Amino acid sequence: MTPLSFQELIQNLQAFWANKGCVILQPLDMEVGAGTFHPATFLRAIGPESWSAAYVQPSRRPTDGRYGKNPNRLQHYYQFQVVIKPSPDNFKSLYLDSLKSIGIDTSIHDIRFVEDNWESPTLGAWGLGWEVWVNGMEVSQFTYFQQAGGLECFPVTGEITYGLERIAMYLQGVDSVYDLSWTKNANRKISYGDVFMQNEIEMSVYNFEEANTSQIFEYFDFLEEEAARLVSRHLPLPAYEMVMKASHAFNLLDARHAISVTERQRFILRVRTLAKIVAQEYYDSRAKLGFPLAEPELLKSNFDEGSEK
Amino acid sequence: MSAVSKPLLIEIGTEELPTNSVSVLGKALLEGVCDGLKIRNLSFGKAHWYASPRRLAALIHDVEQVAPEKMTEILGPPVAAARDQNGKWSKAAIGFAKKHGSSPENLTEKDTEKGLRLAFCSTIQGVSIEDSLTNIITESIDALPIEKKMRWGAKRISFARPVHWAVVMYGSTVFHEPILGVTPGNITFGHPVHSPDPILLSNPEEYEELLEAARVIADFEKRKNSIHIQIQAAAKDMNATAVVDEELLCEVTGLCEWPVALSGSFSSEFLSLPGEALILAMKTHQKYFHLLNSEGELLPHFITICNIESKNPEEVIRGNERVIHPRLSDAAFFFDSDMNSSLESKTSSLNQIIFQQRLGTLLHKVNRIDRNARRIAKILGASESEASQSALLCKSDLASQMVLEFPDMQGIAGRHNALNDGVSSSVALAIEQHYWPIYAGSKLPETEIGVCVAIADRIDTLVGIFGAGMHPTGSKDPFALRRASLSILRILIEKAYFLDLRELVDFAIEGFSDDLLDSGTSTAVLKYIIDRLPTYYDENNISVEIFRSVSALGIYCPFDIDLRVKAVAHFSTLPISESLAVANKRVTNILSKVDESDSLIEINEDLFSTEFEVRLAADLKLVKEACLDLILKKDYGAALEQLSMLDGPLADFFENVMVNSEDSTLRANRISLLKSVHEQFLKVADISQLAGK
Repeated sequence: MTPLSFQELIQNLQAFWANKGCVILQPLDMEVGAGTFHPATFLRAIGPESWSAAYVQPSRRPTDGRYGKNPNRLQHYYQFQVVIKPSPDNFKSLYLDSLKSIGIDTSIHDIRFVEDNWESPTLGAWGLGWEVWVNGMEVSQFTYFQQAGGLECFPVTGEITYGLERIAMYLQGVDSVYDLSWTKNANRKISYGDVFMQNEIEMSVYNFEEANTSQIFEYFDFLEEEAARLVSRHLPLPAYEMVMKASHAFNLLDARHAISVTERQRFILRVRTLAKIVAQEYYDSRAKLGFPLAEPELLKSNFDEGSEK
Repeated sequence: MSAVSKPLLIEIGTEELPTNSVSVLGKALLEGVCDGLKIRNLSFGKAHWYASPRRLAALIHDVEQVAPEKMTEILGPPVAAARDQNGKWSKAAIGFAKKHGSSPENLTEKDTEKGLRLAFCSTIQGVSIEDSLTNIITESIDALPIEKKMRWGAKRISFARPVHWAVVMYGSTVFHEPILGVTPGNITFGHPVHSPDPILLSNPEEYEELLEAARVIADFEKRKNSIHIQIQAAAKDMNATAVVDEELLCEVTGLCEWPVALSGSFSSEFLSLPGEALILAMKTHQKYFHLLNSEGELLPHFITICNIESKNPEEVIRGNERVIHPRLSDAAFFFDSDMNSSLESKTSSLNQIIFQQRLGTLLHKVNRIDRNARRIAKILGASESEASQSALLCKSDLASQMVLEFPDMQGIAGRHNALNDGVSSSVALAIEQHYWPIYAGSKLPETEIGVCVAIADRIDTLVGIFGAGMHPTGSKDPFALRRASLSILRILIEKAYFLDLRELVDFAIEGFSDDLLDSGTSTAVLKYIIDRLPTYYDENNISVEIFRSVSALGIYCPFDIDLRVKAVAHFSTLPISESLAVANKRVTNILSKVDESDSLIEINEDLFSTEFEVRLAADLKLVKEACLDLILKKDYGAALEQLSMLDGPLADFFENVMVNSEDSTLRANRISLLKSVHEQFLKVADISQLAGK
């Protein structure tokens, strides 16, 4: 069996999870650090409404850029994100089936669930779960959300994040991400490097050398004010966009070493404060709509006990 | 009624539990269930715990079905008072019977030490396992020490990880009362890949065997043992010795149900890296065991424990080798780039790392460590310049890439960098050893310069953090001040250094700029450090009373304290210690009731009115002289021996002399004599603390 190309890997995962009833979304058209930032995960984890979605999310981590020289580290890479709420009883076995669908035979490979508790200080979110190892290599994160934006999650969202490049490198047996086969057509192979090498080099230069820090500092302040203002106008979704932008601005400043260690904590706290007020506003806005996607019995129990703790 | 007893099995099936809590929770579940049986008076036989990533279980043999009846007997009024003159039941008898829902006719008479009494006797039915098992299970689940609980799905239940099934069986009887949101049955599950079908249990005693057939070794210790044997066999195949770290062994045991050891290799070019870095990369990131050759040198091989009998083990090995390669490449890259710059050049980056907001950066800290270390070196007669050089470099590797990636390499990375820079080996060793002891009970710095920096660093942390108002509270000790204190004490005591903490602490405080630290820091820090000693001595089986007899003196030199504590500990085993302690206690009691003005006078021998006063005073004089030299030499054992000679004179004194004489001059003189005795004892220890132990 020939291993999947990078794009076939994505197609297989999409088909698999579409088959399990997930809404297949397209990537968020904004810079985010992880698939968790997508409103389809972070905001949908809040409140009593049911939700199942899967999508690819390009993720930007400016500090991880290596000018295209490190075979494993990228400042822009892909995550495949699956969220199901409430997390189903067979969530883990669905995940194992999904591995089979991309060519990982569970009777050959050693698959392990190693405790890894997830926490996002900027989003005021945390959950418990595992990193999943295949023959000693971490290929996914598996998390049961317990809190998002400072709000208790009920019901609980189950989240799976696949590290697509790692899995593809493993399946294709290549040692450099740039050697991955993105796709093959009749006459030639298009590699990951063909698609992204120049981007990695130029964006590393931008992130580490060119980003205009004084402008970004000002921009951060603006976004902070704007998010608060939009919350006061009862517009949680635009306000949340400001939070995501602020978070990315912070990441850029971090990559430029423009924030001292002590300042760093303060910036994280500023983003978290925004994430919290936005989360509450989003909850209120869904409540006003009567939580249209909630199962009746969960809706009732949410009103009965939703404010527990 | 003959007692029926059967085996009891409780199993909770979960998603993969946090690795390090697997055995803890398994043991705790069994303990909880046994406690529940005990308090209900249900007897049981052998009990066994099971724990794997996906299950916790307790199997208890010969659990009694119904607890035995209990006879109770409550005594009432005396029989003599049970009837009035007319032979009718008295009010007392009627009242007593009524209180217990009975009537006087149904009471019996009991012969007791206090004569014949009325008594109410009844039998209480023992509880049955049927009625109490659900409660026993619920109570033991509630008592499990789960570090972080979670919820899942749309359930309000919380546990360490989602719960999927439960087994509750008493003999062949199955219990179905829900626990943790699932309905228990007699169905368990084996290895998800090797044996995905449900397993029907007809009897609790089949549990271990049926699971083993389904590729699950449920017994934690058995699984651990199997891993150990497999590792050794695999190592033997490679003509090597595997280093089996107990902590890692437990960790991997908590990560698998059907362990299979596989061995792989990495490129020998990585062997040029520091061995510690290779071992850490294998151990912390990949949970691999490393191997040594007969010369004790690291081999380019590893052993991994997987959780499957793979259809193609080569594939699993290849996969693991592909993971370790980039990890080691990273380590090699970090190491090489770290070696490209001197350790000294990294020191300046420490001004980027905040030690604590109020106390400034690590660079500030390093300068204070330097100041302290030079002082300590001077006191100990060690090289001040080497202590200074080591202190100034001791934190520099925190700015290295290696330590950023492998925090456990702190100190080790610094040593390598220093040696690479051509720094003297004693400085390089001190850089590494100033972190020692790394764990409670682990080895102490071996070199004197290492000791200087180790103490200098920890005193600075203690003084700084206390001074910044961040006293550790209860379980919150983010700067590990408890460990820092214990480390200082262990180094000074076990390596026999006469360093006075008060001097060191006050000197360290002066190293901070004016007004930076809270007032009262010196007292607070000294008290905190000394307060760690009772725990230290408790671990060495020395009682707190013995420690108190020395701590009462207000000494701040831990080694001096230790010499005294050991002397008192020995003394307390001697027959004479008891009476001497009591006598000292008496002296203390008398003195505590005395006004200062009462005892201001000098002892006046002319005022002695009894031979007992004369003798006590004379013996005291002799003992004083003999002790002078002994105390100077810190031979506290011999000093106590001398002091013991006062036992007889003191006893005679108390027997025959009234301290509280009506003549106030006589009284004052006697008090002065006792005070003088007391002061003499206090030069060694406050023996009165041993009284009434």
